Amino acid sequence: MPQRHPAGRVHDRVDGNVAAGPLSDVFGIDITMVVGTCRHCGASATLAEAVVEIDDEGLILLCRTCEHTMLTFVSRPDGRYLELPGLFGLSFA
Amino acid sequence: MVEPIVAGWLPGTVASATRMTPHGRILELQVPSWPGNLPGQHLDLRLTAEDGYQAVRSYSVASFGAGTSIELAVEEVADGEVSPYLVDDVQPGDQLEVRGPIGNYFVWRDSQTDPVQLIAGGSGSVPLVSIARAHQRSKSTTGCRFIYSVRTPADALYADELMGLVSSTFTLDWVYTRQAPPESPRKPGRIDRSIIETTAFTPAEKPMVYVCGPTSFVEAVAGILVDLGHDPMRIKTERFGGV
Repeated sequence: MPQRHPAGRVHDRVDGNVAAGPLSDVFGIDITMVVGTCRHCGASATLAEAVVEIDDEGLILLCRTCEHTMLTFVSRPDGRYLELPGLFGLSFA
Repeated sequence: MVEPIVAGWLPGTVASATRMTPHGRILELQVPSWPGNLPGQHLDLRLTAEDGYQAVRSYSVASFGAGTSIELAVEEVADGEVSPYLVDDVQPGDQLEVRGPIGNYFVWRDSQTDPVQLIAGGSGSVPLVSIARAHQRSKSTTGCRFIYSVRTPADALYADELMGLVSSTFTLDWVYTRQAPPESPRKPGRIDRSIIETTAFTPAEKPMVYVCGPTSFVEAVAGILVDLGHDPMRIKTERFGGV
């Protein structure tokens, strides 16, 4: 299991582990151990530890410290869309 | 540490489906191009209906290591769109697609030498069963402790297997939230500080702690662990939502 995604349009609040599959379409790597720095509060943490809200069309990745939106990803049959409003940077080991 | 995810979706076939609890089944998938997986990793599973509609869900993998056979445990979720199908309807021979293995954070590697503390809520046990199996297989001399919170004894996934692992280096403690068996030392109730304090490794023993379960369960347990003095950097969490 974990049944990370709920049914239909219902939003669920999970963490960055579940974002790794969808975001591999964009980044081509597993992002769980990538460290993200929040543009709003400056906190740094692995993306696995970020708050993620997810539904069937995409996900929002939030800073666990200040809850500001770091990344938005939408995937629909007609295309994909990525926005990084609150990510100051990403660091890779 | 940055590792590529196997590109795209891998075709697979349901090899077997075995009911384990009133609401849960074990599925064995055969995925010929599966590269193997580390204990604790998950995969995305894609189902395509006859009309072309697709649904993607994420499942932890109970099996580990090399091989093209993947074991999942699937529990029915009320109002779930996909899980009732997987629990009640999927049959050997059915076709699926998987993407993975995914995750390098919530994993245990047999090169780790610290004590291993596993704390599961409900079906959050699945990746922790994978870690417990791997820890046992590794012949590690450091201890492994498993605290498993379930609604009732009948809801416990892998109960017999876990009880069979109990040894001088593996302990198993149950927390029953709704109904406890007569021999249980505790009345039914949610996991709390005293249970963790009396059954888990202490902060001084420097365990690596893995917590998996519903979001509210993980938040509660992680908070207790930090209050008890565990290093937040040594607490790995995985949330699967729900209540």
